[in-house]
Amino acid sequence: MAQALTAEAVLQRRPWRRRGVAGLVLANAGTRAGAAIILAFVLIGLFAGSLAPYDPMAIDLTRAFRPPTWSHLFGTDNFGRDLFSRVLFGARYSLLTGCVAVAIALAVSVPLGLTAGYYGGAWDFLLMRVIDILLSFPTILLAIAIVTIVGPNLQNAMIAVGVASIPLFSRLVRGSVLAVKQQAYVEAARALGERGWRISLRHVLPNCLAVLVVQSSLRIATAILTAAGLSFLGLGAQPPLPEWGAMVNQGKDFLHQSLAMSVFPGLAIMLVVLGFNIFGDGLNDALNPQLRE
Amino acid sequence: MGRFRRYLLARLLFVLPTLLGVSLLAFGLIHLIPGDPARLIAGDDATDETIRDIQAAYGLDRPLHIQYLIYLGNLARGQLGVSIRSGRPILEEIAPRFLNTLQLALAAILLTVAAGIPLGVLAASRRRTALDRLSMLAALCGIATPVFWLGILFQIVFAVWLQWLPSGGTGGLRYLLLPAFTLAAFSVANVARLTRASLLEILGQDFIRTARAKGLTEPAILFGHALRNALIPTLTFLSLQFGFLLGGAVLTETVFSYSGIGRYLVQSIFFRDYPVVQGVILIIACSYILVNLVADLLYSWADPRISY
Repeated sequence: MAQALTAEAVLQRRPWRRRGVAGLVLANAGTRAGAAIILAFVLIGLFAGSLAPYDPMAIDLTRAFRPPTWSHLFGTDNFGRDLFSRVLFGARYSLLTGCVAVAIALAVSVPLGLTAGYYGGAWDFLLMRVIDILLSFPTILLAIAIVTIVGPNLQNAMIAVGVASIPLFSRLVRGSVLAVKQQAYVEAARALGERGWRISLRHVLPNCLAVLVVQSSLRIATAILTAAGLSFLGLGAQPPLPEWGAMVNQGKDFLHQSLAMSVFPGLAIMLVVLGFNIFGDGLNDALNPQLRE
Repeated sequence: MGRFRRYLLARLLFVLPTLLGVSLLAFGLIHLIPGDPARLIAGDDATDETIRDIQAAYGLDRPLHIQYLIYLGNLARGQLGVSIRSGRPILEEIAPRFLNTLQLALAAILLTVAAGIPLGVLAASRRRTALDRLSMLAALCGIATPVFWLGILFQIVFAVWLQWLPSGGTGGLRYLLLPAFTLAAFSVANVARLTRASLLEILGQDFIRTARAKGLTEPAILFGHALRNALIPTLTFLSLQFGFLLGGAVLTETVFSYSGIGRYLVQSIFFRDYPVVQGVILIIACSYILVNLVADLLYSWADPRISY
């Protein structure tokens, strides 16, 4: 029973301490499959330079619109560039966009959500009203508005998608802070006389990590989709950069000459997004066993 | 109904500051874009005289808060300004396109309900079978598929290969089908997953065991008792999704050259028609807020357990 436990014992029972990082990554079929897909794309991105058989930017108009063959696995595009090499290099931009966007969102949302959730009061009220207003804009619309202001290129698209995710993330952080605040170990820390900011950093934040990690994985997926969408619209990465969204955009004008131009880059986006989604879902199951059916 | 009326009032009061905040953001957009606001509103080709007129009309030589009040006053009279590209009032430009987008979003919601809920129910009732796993895998892929790419795949199959449907344009049902299916795919997948999850949760509860114990058949339990309760989270998602579809149609409309506000927004950005960009963003956000308001009210009216 709770009365029999000392406050120190309650503190030792924090759920996130039970399992190591490796244990979580390999927790179930979902996390394993997701991690494998993500790892594959990370490796492709890192070693694109040595894996790619051709220069992704090399134009050779005599080789335009080649169908997939052994020498050009995905065929060539309207400029005769090797699509396989371009898709490999695209992994870099996609992963970087997802991670940078979510890092920006986290860097702003965690302090906002933590202080709002833990201290409440006027600050919480004010912040939540501003977030309500920002949530009246669909994420992609907010990102489009930001790109309109700062100008269309890959870096700005990353920033725009990150900033556009701040409202949702802040509300999420606040929500899980509110839940963790009710836990016995937070009360125990308070009973031991720890200060508010120390409790929020040492006890509340680490216990929100589970939610944050799950959400980060899922939001990386969304960020990749949104940023690819921006590039597809011409508001993100600009040609000739081999970014997948921009490549699909170029391909859509040549559906009668080459299906490969739009099919393969899109397939790559789908696979990498699938990886982050499966990983996030699996992690969620592993961290909340009671939710599993 | 007294409590409901009070809730209605509180909810309406809450919408006002949100709308004001949205208008402030739309107003701020023109001022955040680098460059002289008067020139941004008048367009690159404007004469000095036009620019002076714009400055006077929008009060651009006066302090920002006065400019905002002038902007609000114009909004209250339904004046969103004039499009640089066409020279016509923006509201007139937006209205027909908004109706097209509304049509597209409604079609997508219909498809979502018609396909997503049955899929979820089917998966939940055949839990842990190949059918369940297959439909959930399909749903996972549906969530991961870039909507603009799916649109192109549909174009390849139905317009280029089979030549059953036009690859783009705006018109009757023939032009609506491919964009609507494209736009719906993501929400169908989400609704199927959500319906399955909440149905499985409900099926594990005590009142279902009671229903089984008194000898009801499985379909009677599923459709008579479980589904009604399981659909509540699905309905919440749908109401949120509808607003999202209104704005999220940007990509779908662009792929299919469908003349809606989303495509209009993107075209206006490239044309540097900033008054239109401002107007479209304002309209989308406002309709999002209003749809959510109506959904909230319907929801609390339909489900008496929601506290006002």
